[in-house]
Amino acid sequence: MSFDPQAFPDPHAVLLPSRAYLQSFAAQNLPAREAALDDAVAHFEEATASDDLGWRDMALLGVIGEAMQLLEDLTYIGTAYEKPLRGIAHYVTATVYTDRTPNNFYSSLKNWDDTRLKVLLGLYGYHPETHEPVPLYSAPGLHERLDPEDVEAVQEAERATVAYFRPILLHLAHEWEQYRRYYHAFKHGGLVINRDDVELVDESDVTRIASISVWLRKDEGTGHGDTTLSAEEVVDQVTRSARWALRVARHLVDARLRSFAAIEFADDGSIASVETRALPYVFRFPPEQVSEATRERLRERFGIEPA
Amino acid sequence: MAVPSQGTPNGEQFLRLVYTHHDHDYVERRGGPLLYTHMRGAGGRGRYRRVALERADAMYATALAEESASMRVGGLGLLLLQRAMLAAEDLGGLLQALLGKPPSFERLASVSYGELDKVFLDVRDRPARILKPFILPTREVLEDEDMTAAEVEAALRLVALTRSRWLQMLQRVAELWLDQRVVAKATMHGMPLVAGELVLGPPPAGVLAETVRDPRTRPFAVAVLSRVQNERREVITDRHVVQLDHRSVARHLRAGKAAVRLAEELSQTQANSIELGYGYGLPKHSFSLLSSQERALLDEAMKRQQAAEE
Repeated sequence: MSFDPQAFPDPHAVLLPSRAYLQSFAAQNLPAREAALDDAVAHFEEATASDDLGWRDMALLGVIGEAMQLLEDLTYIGTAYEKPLRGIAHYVTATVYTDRTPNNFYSSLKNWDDTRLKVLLGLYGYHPETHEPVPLYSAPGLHERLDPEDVEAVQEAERATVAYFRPILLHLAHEWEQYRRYYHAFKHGGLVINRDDVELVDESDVTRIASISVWLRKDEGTGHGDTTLSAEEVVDQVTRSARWALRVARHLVDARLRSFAAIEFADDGSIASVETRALPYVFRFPPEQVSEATRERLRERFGIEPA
Repeated sequence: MAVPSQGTPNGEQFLRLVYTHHDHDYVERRGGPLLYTHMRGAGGRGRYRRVALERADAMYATALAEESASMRVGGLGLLLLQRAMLAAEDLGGLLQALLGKPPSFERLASVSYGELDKVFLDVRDRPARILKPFILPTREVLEDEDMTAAEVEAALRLVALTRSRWLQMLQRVAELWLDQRVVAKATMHGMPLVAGELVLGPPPAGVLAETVRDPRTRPFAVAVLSRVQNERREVITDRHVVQLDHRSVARHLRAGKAAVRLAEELSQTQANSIELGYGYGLPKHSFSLLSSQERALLDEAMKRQQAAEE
């Protein structure tokens, strides 16, 4: 089967920069973030073994910082592909800084319907002219190759993938709300409250012990702390969440890179060939979430194994 | 003497300051109790930032030995740069707080990128302004103290040597900040940094590769930062090459460590000065810069001063 280069977005303006951005995210950025998280936990353990409480408090803040950094990165790539600026390559939206991106992403998640999540997860894209969300399988050159049973199998896998990710994303939204203030205090001045000089008391003047407490930015004299979890529990909680964020981010990147796997570029950047058998899907769900028939169809017809 | 306390609502809990000082009004004039306690806590903060930098350097060095100039090595170089910039921001925020008239914790806790830029530009353009918070004594101040002429001269040499050292360190940090502030912002907000080898190709990364000059060092990355203008009708994208080879990363490490040290010494100088109620401070941590004879002279003067206070 021949391919029509005109049916693809412009390689120079869209395909090649998008591919480089995504490949960098996968091979450079996410490994660095993961290493930073592991390192922050080891640093915390080292500091905890000492009797330097100020160091330990900062090291705990450091773990929160590296963990929330992953949650923040996820919002930039997520926003880029779910709510892109129109008329330009989607990745460009991820390069626009606004301090509202993480809060907007996480605070709105609870209202997202399945279609928005399918766009986020790389199962749907936007129609180039109407900008309406459309399934990937409806793309020209793709839907002609699918019979109704194929489409049914893809739809079932889409639903299972959304069902898998929705609670994870809602959990991350909760975590962002719980820990973002510590994260900002860590990044902007290391505003940990000095235990030698400041104590926490309740209304009856009874001293309370916070696992961590920080001064809030832009709100002089107001502290923010946690007296319900131990420092170790905080570490456990935020690192688990960060690893979920890492998995989601990897999925978002892999799902988009899958589209590029079928394209072979010449050294000058032109499209040399396209593998037409491949379906540009990455599904993720527990195997029992879809029927055996669907799994078999995806595997045998298209070589797709859910992660 | 007095125990200043300040209740701050935190749900049903309050934060109470429990340090002691003989003159609460004096603490207020010098920036207030929150800034004072923040500076008194500089040791733990500095230790953390320094160890975090050293750990990042160790990860980078290990990866470089294993994989040469891979993208993973580049990512670890970016991590070190981010940690160095966090240390620089600690220092810049502290300077911003202390340069206020009056100084205040609020200026530290709300510092903006633009204000940090101004602080570090002033290191280059108005160094005398930036050195003011370091409260080094002048000849007039020293001559008013109970010191012999020889002791005053030794103290002035200590002041000159310390000023020169601090200025050199400040310049190193300012250079890091002003060169890498854009990249640092990228490392903290979504990491729009594309590995250099993918930008150059082959095939080159289309529009991303336009105007990017190969720095001839590996690894490197390109920070891609865009802004939206004219009611979302125009997107301007800038690209900044950041070198992540061993020499560049070592430079970032040195500057980051200088920022940590400066923040510690500035905090210590200020906190000691507030504690003692003096508007200046002799940098005791710099005594090693003096000859043994000069050190002996200053030790003697300090002993006399201490005895007089007791």
